Amino acid sequence: MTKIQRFFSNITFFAMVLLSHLALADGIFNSSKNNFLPVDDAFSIAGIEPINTNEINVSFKIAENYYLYKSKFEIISTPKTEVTLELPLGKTKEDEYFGKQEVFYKNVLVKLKTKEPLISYDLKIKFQGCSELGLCYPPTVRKLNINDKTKIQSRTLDSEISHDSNSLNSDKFIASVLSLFLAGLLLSLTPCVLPMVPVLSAVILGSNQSRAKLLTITYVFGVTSTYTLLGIIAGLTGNLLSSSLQNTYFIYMTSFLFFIFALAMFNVFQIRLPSAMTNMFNNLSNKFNSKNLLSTFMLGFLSALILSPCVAPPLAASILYIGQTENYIFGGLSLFSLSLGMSVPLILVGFSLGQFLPKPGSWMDLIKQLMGFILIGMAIYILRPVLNESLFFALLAINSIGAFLFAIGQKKHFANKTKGGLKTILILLLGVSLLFSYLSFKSDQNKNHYNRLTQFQQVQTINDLDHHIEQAKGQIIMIDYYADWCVACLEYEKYTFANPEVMSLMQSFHLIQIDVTENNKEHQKLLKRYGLFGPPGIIFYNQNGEHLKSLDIVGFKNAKDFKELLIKIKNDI
Amino acid sequence: MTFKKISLIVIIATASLIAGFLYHQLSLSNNNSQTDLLYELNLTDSKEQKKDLAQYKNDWLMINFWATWCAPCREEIPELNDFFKTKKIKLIGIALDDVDSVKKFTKKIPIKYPSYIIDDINGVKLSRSLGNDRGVLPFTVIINPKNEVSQVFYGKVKIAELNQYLKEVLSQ
Repeated sequence: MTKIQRFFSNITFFAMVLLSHLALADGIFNSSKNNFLPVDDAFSIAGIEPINTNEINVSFKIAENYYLYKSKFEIISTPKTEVTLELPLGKTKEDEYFGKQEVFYKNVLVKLKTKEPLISYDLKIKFQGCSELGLCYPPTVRKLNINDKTKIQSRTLDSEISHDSNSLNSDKFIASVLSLFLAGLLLSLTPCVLPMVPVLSAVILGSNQSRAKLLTITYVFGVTSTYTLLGIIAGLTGNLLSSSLQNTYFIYMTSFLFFIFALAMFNVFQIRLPSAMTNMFNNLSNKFNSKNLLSTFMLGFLSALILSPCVAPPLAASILYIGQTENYIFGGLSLFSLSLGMSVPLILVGFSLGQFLPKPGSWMDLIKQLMGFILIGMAIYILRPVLNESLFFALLAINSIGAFLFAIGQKKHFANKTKGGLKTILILLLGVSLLFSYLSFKSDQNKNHYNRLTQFQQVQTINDLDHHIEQAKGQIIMIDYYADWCVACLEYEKYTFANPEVMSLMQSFHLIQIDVTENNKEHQKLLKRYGLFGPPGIIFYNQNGEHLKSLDIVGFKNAKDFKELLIKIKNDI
Repeated sequence: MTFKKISLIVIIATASLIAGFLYHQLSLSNNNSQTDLLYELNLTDSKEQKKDLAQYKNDWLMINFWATWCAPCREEIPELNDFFKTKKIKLIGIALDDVDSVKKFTKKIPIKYPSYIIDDINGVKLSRSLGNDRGVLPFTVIINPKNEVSQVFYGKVKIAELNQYLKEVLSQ
């Protein structure tokens, strides 16, 4: 490699490291945003369908509890022309000021007709709507792209899940898969993947170029299959795990495990498969020494298991993470992209017939150890529900500063040729540290905005509870069982109750909270009263003081679902 | 590693630390540039007279964004009228509407506090600049004497909540 090539490969590599961090930071940001729907999610153009040259249908998708006014639809065309708008019959809504208004819920199909072909005009549609939650949106104008015959890709499909901070939304999904690919690339630059290179070299030895490419792809396919399979298994089995481990101890435990994995990356000790298993796989792979495609595939499949001593910790960490998401498609995809990233040098070797090989050196160890810091970062990330935001970012900042200092310490191991790369790492680590420190300050700054304005009355005994229920007759009562050690309870506080829409709905309820952190005898009696095994649990009473048993909530509900439930309770009574 | 190189790293590191610190400070002070747009405005009031909003600078100020076509906003006006009587904080209304609609509305329900009118597009821009990231109405914002946004309310303001908040910040 010439100097310039090395420079560019360094730059791309470090840009990727930074990107993976940013992807993480972005995920952190998204989850703390308020849950008001932006106008494009409340009212979105789901499709534009040309009927003929002079006529199109525009379909709107309207979020639950939001509505659009029929009289407010308007077309703006340049140059000006007469456009007739045809709208279906809407539902009547009584407005004390404007009188009866026709409004649309859920969806509406707008028909546009012009005398001349539509294509010669630039069309915009203006609409205005409100939400049942006591909010309105100012008139909004959106351009209609009718030159494009294909249906407009709608954002609504995503928006249904993207406002749910706890399940995997599509943005987070992509970010995670992408981050894992980058993590794989990083791993490929550690001494972890290197043992596979001679295996592959042996396979393609003596083949011509096109055959070598085919064999390489088959081999890589074998490697990725192993990981994909592992990912799917992790996603499936995670299902069994997580429901029974809804407990802060589990958070501490997982975080601790990640920390242990990180130590393994620093060579404090080694994690690998038992030697008996390694031997078995070795013997098996010796059987697949011929150069046909199936053997090559099997060789790839097996060597992924044998020849990756230091891939184990990050792999185990990924599997733990996937297990928690309880999504096998995500699991398979994640580990597929991780292994694909790892296979990049293999592909390079195979396609260049072994001419290109990364030069092993101490830089590889540094990357391995930096992976360790990333794992510590993950350990901190897992602790997030039990940390306050500012402390959370402060820990991340300390971790990246640690990585920075560590990298400085490694300087003496570097040959002059690779020092440029080290400098880039140092600068990037510094940048990441500053970003986290900044976020740490900033989240403190923002604290006021996420103030909990809802006030729960604290209750500790059954008598007290009965007394409160009796007194609050005429109001809807919500009883929330809480404990410091219950993850879902913390999530309720942080994500659900802190949501402004939920907050404003809860204002009209009589709110009672029962803190069962100590789990004493009286607490057990209080739990037993509604047949709860433990927190979280939320119980509702209607205005007549009747317990709405069918609406008992056990377990976590995100802001969107919870909001819907509250609206339902409010409307039904 | 030579002494020269060590010192170079130290210098770069310190320089970027200082740069980061300054950036952080800058972004903090940006909080008050959030209100720049507001104080530069010259808006029509309900008597159709142009007024500079700069007159509200350097004092506690509560702004209620509303419109006649927004039912929850209209419902809120009598409550805000009552609140205004308590004289806890300066209050102004900004309607994202046209003059005629506002005039017609105030004939029915008079607004006791100064109210201004702005068009949709600029109104949305203004409310966004003051923290209304979802562009909803009604939207109420409280600005402190340092000209920083101190609290925002999406949807109708709960007067009890508002009083509680003002009690906390004004007593300081």
